[in-house]
Amino acid sequence: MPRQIPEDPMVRNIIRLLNQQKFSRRQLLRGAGVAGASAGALSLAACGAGGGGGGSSDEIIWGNWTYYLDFDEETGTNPTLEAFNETSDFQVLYVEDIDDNNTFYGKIKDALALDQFTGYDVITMTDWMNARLIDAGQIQEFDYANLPNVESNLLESEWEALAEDQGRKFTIPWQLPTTGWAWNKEAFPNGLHTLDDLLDPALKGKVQVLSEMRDTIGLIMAGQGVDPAGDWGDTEFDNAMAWLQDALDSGQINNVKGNDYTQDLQTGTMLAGFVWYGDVVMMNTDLGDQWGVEIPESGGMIARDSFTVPNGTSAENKAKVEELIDYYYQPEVAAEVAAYVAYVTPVQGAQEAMQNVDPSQVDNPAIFPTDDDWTRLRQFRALTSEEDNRYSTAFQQALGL
Amino acid sequence: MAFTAFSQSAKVVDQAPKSKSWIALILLAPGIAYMLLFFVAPFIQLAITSLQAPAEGHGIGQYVAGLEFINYWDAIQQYWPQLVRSFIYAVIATIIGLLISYPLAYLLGVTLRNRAMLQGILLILVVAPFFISMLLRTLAWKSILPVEFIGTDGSVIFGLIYNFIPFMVLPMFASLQALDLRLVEAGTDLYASPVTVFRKVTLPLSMPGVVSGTLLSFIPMSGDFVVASRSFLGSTDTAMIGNVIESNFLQTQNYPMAASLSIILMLAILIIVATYVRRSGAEDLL
Repeated sequence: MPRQIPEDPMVRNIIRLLNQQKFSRRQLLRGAGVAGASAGALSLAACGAGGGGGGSSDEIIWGNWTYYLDFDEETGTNPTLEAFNETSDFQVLYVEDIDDNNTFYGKIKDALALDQFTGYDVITMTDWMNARLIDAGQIQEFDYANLPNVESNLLESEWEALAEDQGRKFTIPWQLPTTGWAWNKEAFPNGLHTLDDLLDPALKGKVQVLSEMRDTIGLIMAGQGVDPAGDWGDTEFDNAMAWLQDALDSGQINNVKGNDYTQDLQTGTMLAGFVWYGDVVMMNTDLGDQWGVEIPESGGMIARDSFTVPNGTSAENKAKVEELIDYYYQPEVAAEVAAYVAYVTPVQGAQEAMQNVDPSQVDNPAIFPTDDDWTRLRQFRALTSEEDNRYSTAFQQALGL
Repeated sequence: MAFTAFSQSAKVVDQAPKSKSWIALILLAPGIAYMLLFFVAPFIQLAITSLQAPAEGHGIGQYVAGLEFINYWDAIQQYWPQLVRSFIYAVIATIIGLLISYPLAYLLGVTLRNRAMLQGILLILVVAPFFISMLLRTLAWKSILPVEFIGTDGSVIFGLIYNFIPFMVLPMFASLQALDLRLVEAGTDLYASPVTVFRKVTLPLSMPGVVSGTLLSFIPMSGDFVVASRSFLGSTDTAMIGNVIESNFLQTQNYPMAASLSIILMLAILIIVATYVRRSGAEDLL
């Protein structure tokens, strides 16, 4: 999942607050929490740099994306994690340090390469990055004897979803973000039906796409009739890039952004474009039904952010990580998390459990896509290391970088 | 005896510089160690990285030691527009910043010299932005400025000027604060017009401050990667060389390209600064 905003966790948090244009007590507390946790992570990472051990014996460190775990504004805590910490005989130190797969990988890559403790016992990067870690032999295999809930509750579709990890030996899905498109209903009442609708003169200079290459190129490819999960090659990629480059050069697309596109949607700087589906569903809930948002008929994108345990995590702590993961694979707990984070949950039974957690979310398509949505969701095919390098470079150059 | 005394004194004379040089060396040691550790060693590492070659398979972020001087040519060929744009932005921002900063520094250092209270308050206002993160201040402008203006050359130049004005004002203020006003008075007594007095007396005497201030702002402006970022005041059309370096280091993980660009930027700034200082007659600053 892309989170391309400044490195400083405190700043990242405040940026998100600005994006939402509200400073509630919860968010201020959260800001302090993130800053504190990050400081803690830094010190722990420093302690762990010698390799081998990880955090203390009665503690594990979980590195995750921002806003990716339920949060209680009254208590300033993560309720599900709080409940886990109370019942387990160890503590989980939760740090929201992942803001972008590439930059986070850049931060831990040397420790990964040396099989040293990375500063985290468990992390939740996106599966295309996890595939790279599997190929490099840098993460550990899970012991399913410790994961009965995962075994029984992981969505059937997820067991084989990652080509490099059939049977989910090394990766266990945490959340499934989906990508589609959205438009301002008032300014563009006709809505979006095909990819080329984004080139409508009425939208000139008001279209934005996402800075995550797999999401943007995947959606363009799907709009051009190519299955992003299929057996496509350079020609199809180049066609998608040409569409993007033309739209950028003509000024039709005014910017390419990470998470902060939500602010542009609110200010009207962006009238239409590619979005993370859950974001806009939640914005419609919070700000009135201002935007049309859908998984395009031609196909939307789905990704997986999955738990992985780096080689530098001790065997003792790996067992604790498995206990934590298995806890989150209880449908009631998964529903509680999903009600807050508003992304597709990979846990079977969570929709039924949501009846007790928050009935208003039971039919939220951002969390529980309809059967029709599922038929339209595509995963960007696995790239070879060489392709990844070449395509990422081409995409960055299109962004003027 | 006399001879002995002579020889001893000769010895003393001989040893004096030695002991002094030892003392000087001991005193300089922390500074030298700091420079070796935090500048020379990283720079050597950067130079080595800039010459790396792609590893077999051309995987992302995978490079091996090499002597690929072609990396520099590739970097210039591929990114010269961003390099030129960076310096154009920095030059324009420095000139506009100077036009804003000098009168402000004059007000602080000359006009309000005898009004300590007011001078103090204004100085605090100049320094106050330093108490808030540059990222947040830049982000605040994103909310203040009209949405149509964001992502243009103008918004990036505006952001650069805003962020670096304090760096320009303070050295000029220090220079103007030290200006001997009797010289200005003498100029007036000799029938020079206010403009002539400024041109012949005030400006030349405050030149060290002007040069320091412009350098202190121009150098970081050239390498800035916050203001022009798409998440702040920039767009895909306003990327500066700092953004390109960041992208190559963190996104595409093309370390040789990023290192080459860093060294090219450093050399370009050095050449520009050296030329500027020489032309302005302030070599003492180098």
